Amino acid sequence: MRTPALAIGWAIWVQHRRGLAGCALALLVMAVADPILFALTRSPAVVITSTVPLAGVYFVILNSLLVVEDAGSLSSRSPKHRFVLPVRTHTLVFWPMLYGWIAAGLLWLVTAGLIHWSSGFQTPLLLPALGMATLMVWMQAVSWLPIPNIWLRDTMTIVVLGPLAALPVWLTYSGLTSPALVAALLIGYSAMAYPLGLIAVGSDRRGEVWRVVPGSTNREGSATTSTPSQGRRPFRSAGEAQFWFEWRCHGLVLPGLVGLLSLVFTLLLTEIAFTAPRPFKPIFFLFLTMLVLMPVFLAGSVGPAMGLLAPPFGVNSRRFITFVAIRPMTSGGVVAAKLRMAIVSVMLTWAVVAIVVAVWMVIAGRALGFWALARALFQPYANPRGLALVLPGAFLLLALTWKQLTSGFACGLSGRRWIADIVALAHFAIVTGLVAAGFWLVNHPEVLPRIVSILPYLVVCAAILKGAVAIVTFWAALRGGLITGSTVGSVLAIWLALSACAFACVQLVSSTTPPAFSKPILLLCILAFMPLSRFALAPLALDWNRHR
Amino acid sequence: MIAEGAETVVEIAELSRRFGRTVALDGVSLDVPRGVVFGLVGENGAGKTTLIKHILGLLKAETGTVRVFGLDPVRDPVKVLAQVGYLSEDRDLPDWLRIDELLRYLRAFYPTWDDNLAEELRQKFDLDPSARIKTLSQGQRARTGLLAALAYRPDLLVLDEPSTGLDPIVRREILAAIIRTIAEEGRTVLFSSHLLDEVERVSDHVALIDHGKIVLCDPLDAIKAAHRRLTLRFDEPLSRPPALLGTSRWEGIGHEWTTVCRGSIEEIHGRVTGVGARIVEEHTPSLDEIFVARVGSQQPAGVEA
Repeated sequence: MRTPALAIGWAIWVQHRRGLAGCALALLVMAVADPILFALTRSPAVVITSTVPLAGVYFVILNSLLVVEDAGSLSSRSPKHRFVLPVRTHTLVFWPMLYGWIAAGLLWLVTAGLIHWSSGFQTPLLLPALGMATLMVWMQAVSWLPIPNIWLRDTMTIVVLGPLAALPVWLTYSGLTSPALVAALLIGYSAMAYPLGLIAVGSDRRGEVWRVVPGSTNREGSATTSTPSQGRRPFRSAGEAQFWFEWRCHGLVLPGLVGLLSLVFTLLLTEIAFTAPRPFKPIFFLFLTMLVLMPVFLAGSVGPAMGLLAPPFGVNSRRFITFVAIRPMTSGGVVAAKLRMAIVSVMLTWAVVAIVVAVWMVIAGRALGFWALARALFQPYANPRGLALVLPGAFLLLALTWKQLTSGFACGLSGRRWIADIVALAHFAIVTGLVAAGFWLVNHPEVLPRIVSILPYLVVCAAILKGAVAIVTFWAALRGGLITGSTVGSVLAIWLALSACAFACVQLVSSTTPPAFSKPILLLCILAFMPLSRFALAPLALDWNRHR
Repeated sequence: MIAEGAETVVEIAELSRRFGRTVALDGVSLDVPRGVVFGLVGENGAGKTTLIKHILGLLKAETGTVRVFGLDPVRDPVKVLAQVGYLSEDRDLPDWLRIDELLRYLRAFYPTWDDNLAEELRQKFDLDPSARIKTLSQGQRARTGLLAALAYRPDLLVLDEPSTGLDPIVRREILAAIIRTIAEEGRTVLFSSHLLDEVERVSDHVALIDHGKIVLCDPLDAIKAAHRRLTLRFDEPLSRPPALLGTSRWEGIGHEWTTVCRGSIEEIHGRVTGVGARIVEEHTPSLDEIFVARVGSQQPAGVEA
């Protein structure tokens, strides 16, 4: 390499060449396919669906250009190996930022020029391109800050970037200023990111850590007089120790996320309750629905990261395996501790939700009257069927959250990046397909009865497939000594109990509204939905990772 | 060679392993007897860590077999690992824990965990129990890893490059003393290192691994007894290294040439006389000299026995 600038650019390309080449290919495909597609139809369904792969391309490219220690991680700071290069900190900051700025801006221009404009959508060019470029360099600057605490970094990002981003958006849509002024503002923002990046990398290069609370600065020869594990009861068993380890790694992730988001919702609700004009009731019930669904959806998002054997933040989780792998514990034992941790984590999450609901009741009580609200909430269940539904329903909600949380365990425990990538891609494709199918069905309701008529066959196929996978995985896990026969018995008992519970709930609900499917199909549907294979798949995945 | 009747802790037979096109281990056979300090030496990338990972069951044998205490570490990891202490080259420790939390966690896995020994080692290593692992220096990490591997008195202690990060005092006085003590208690130490003076100082047995193959595996005394460092004088100056059976690497020019030669003293004397030279200097080589002679890559032309 002739210059550091070229070397930095080359290093970014070498590290991410596959992803970037894939994105370039995807953009080319979209540039060819989208104009043809939009010549045939311009329905909202197609427009919205076409943005999903584009979002994936943006995600990959922006993450690749972050130039951080752990690719794609907003908390991993500037790459350490570059700190020892004989170049000034300006060089380490300026060139990655310039490349990021140009690439992000170009990405928008390419998207708009090759895809939007050729498809007949006259999207604006300059301001979104500048916005993308500005976002890129600010993301770089924030991710390079030597702040060890992930929560603090995220809070700071929201607090700093939120208002900064809001101003140009508001100015653009309010029409108060000319686009040229907004462009100048965005360029000014981009320029402001540079000194921040410089301070961040310079500080990190000097080995400084920005702490809110000063931590222990351990040095050679520090006074050491206390006894290890002093004052703490020893663990009674290896299983208990492993549970504690898992809890330290992942236990508070889901409750913390739900708590954090609930806090945002609570602030919004308070604001609406105290200032907004009536009617407040629909908003309250909408928020309540979102709150109840939140743990289930968030569990699905954080599940794959919780399958790893290290916390999701601050360490290269996928590589951290040896420490646990050399402990005298079966892979089944490690997985059992993980599954138990997930149960407690889910229970704590729902305890947080329950507290938040109580707080909301008090807040909403001001606008709607506390007892009136309580009646509105609970009266539908104040009958034998309702009461019979509440308990198994709540139990199933917990089980559903746990199912979502543990669905990615096998993928994470396998320790193979390519599996995680394939699974993520498959999910992405499925979501894209479902969104497209959903929108298409809205416009073609006449097809719905035919789809409903073939659903039972699909359910039967799914149940057969699930059964086959379960048999193969349990057989393999049993043969490998990863689980015992009694474990299989317990798992099957829990699986059947959950299925029976779900079936009872469905029966109670459908006693008022006739079901679309026969009872056997409903039962098969429930059996196919209830988690089973993961109990064997997760130990197999860990064993595969542990003994490579 | 292992003495007849000696109990072996690690038995490896015809072990091979490939990573893509790279042959990491090529038909390795090795026995580690109980109660010895077994040094595994080799260049970087020779296959030492790969071999150790097979012993721990972290890698599965593609061909060949690995037995530790008579068990397959992949099929019986719990029984094997309960008796093995391991210090990894990368010092894999959970950064997010404190030292006291780490010890509390590990204690649960090993019925033989000795709190007194753990405390004694912690004080010897000058480790603050409330220190978070991510704040430790490289040396402190190495000492923490060593403490974690020693505190349950494992029957087999596997140390992968244990000296990395340790200062000379800890390395020479503490690590060496610990290794010797373990061996004297009848337990076994297997350690890899490229610091050959250290291996020579503490090892009973040495295996030399080169490009995935064991090229030498014997008790240290036998290895040293089987090699002689010679300086030969020739009547006529030589333009290229002489051809002498049992040598592969020569240094010198003209009349005088120096080499490390394999064989008994009598055999070597006979061979030297045969090539028309006389020995002007002769002594027992260091392990470092033997290592360079056996695996030195920049070899001048000579005769390989």
